[in-house]
Amino acid sequence: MTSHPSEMISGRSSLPAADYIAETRRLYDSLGYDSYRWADERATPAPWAAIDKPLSQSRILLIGSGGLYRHGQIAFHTKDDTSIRLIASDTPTDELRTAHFAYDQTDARTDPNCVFPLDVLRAMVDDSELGGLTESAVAFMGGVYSTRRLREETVPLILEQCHRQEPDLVLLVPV
Amino acid sequence: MSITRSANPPRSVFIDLPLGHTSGMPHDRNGQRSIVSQALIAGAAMTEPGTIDQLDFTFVDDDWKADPLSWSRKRQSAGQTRTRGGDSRTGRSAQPVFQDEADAAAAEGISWDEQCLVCIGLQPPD
Repeated sequence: MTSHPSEMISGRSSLPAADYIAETRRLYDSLGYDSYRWADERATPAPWAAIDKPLSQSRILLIGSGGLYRHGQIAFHTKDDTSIRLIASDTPTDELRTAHFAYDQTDARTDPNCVFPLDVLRAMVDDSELGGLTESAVAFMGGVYSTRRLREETVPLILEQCHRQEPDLVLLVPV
Repeated sequence: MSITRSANPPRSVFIDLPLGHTSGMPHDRNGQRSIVSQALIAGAAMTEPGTIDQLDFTFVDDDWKADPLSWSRKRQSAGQTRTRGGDSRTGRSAQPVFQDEADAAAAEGISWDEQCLVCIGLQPPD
């Protein structure tokens, strides 16, 4: 068994957090693109639902935007693919794949838990830290440049799963 | 953090690690577990909509912050993380981008009726 030293340290970096909006603006300006228009929901009150169960009794639905699919499924295309993939929560990690264009997938393909922590959640269930997982997790390819299409096409598909899978909590892992 | 703030989700935690490592580093099961566990505990404890907690995890090498959009494992291995990498996105394709040919062959072998149970929102083939 090869040892894998941790590449994280606990404690906050002395440098400010990476500012991806500023970085993307800089990149787009340097490429001569029009400014990217970020969804800006700051003026919209965030919806709120009270949590009425401890984590140890809660069923979790994992949703990831890292372009995960399972061996045997049709991979995402990378030109505004608004579809979703259901990944059974007992899927062996070595059957998980990624299809994305906007992040370096080297590490996610080495260990999908970098962006889709299924093994981690299963271990938490085994240790009774969580109550359980829904039958399937949900994956999509978050690099969709049309906010409108994301809202009108992808979000309803995800919401349908949020109702159908009957989770107590949803964990969204964005990339 | 700026993107999270702009999207204004009800409960969120920010993890200051390189893009593509939201829930940790490869095979670092203890680190991944800490992130996911602390994120869920922090989220469950929030009382105000729009709360963003920052979890205290740092990538061992802060060099990535000089170029957060295009930091990559490959460039780090080649000792190139101190120079800006420009646009590291790959081209976009309207065809499925399979990780390898075996995936494409396996997907080909599964009927559309089965696929559409798990690949939801795809247009059926002609």
